[in-house]
Amino acid sequence: MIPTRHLMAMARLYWKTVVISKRSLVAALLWILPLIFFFIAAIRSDGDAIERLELWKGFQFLGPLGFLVQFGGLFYGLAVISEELENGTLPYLLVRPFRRGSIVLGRWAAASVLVFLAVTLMNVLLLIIVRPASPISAFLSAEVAALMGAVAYVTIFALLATLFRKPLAPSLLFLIALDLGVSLIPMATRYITPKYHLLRLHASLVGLSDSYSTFGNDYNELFDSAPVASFIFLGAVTVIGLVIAIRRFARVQV
Amino acid sequence: MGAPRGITFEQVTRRYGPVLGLNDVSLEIVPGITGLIGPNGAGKTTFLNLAVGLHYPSSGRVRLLGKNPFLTPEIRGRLGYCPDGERAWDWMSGREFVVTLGQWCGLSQDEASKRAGSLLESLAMGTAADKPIASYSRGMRQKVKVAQAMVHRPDLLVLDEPLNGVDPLSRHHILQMLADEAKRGTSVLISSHVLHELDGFVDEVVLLQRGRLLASGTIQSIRELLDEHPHSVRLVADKTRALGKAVVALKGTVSVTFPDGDDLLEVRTRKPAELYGALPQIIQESKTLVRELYPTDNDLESVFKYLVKGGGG
Repeated sequence: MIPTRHLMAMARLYWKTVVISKRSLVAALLWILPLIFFFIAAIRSDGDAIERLELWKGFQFLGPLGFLVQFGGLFYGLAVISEELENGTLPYLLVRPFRRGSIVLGRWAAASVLVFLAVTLMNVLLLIIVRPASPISAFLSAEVAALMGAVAYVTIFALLATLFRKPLAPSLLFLIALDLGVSLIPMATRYITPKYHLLRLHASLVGLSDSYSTFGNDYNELFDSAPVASFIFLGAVTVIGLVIAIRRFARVQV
Repeated sequence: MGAPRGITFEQVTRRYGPVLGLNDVSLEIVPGITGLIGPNGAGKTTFLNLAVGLHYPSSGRVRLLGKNPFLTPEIRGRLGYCPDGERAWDWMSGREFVVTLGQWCGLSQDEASKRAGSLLESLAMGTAADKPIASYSRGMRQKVKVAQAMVHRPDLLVLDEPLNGVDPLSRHHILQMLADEAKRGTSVLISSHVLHELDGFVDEVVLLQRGRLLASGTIQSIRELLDEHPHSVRLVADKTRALGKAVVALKGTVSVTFPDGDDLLEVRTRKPAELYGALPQIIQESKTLVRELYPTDNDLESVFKYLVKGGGG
């Protein structure tokens, strides 16, 4: 059994270290970009409050879920392992009476919370900007998808940080070539990408009444499916990824 | 039989790809102050990393206080480790750093604060203890690193080059604190590539060279092992010629020289015990006034030079 105080100690260290790091500066810039885009879109939109709700739901794909979860997961997920390794401070953690699993788990939980909070904050700001009708249930549904996405992406990048000594390039390759690239190709291969399942989960939960369309690829099949498969997919990615990351970290030598 | 208190290496080899970091080392670090000596690249940091569980051996067995340090996190609560280098969380203050790491070893906030305050005061950190580590000099960083290793009062202290870049006064403070810890029963293992730093401070030494264990034991015992290397003694006296004549007849005497005129006699012998045993009688019989008598090569530097140059033989 891992003591809670060890998990909390690791989480606190992660927050304190990462929030003031350069990673957060970059993440903050990424956070601002979709917000500006939404702001402009909302000003140009001349629909009523119900149409604005659909606008808010649909634009989740471009902002919080389709952008912030992925890049937040990249920056904060890599930091789960890489931050202390790069700073040269990992020995201080490894010679303390912590199980190595508690170091990974505590930091992973802290990173997931950070990404989830960033997405939530953006969603709240978007609601204020777009002012849709009856947003509460759509907001809560979007939050469920955001939480699943946050833990899955943080796990994937934490795992990549245990697999590569310099994980940024492989992580960007994964994000752009595999996750984004393959998810846009209208074939069954898109089913292996977390992005597809996050999108599908979100679409099912918030009840999109219009089709997603990105770069000419319709995602109409999204609306035919129950969210369970995507829920299981993202959950499995999280659990399996986390187990492998912990096992890999248990062999790390500094 | 009491609980194991030191570190045990049994035929430990550690490879980094084709490079041998440590080669078939077997030894036991016992309670007291032990110096780990060797030039840069000798394998000191590899040795310490294996000892504290940061690395695992390619072959052989390492035991820290009787347990495998890599697989037994609980045992690390009884360990204080000061790593090499200057890395720390620069945004923390020195005090916060020591308190935080003390809490990680199970101390309460109050207890950790109290002990950190006392340690930082002993190290003469003054008001700098509350400034961010980013603003610290190298010596101040070393001091807070040593303090974090000691804050939870471990049974075993392992320090990797803790005196690097430290000014003489701070060096005195650090060594004094370590000596006090050792008096309380803490086992101290301290590494250095600067031999004179540890001279007169350590009870035992472990000498490493190119990943191999050259020798271990007290400086005197190592010196005595080197029978093939003449031991050198200097005497400052008024009748050095008469003394020299008597000493040259002793068994084991290799040479008798007068390096600085007639006031100084240097004797090189393979049997120092015999020389020291015979000297009082020789001095008495020759009615010589001996003002000083000192071995010239009983220090760490000489021992190390002998072992490295001669390969121990």
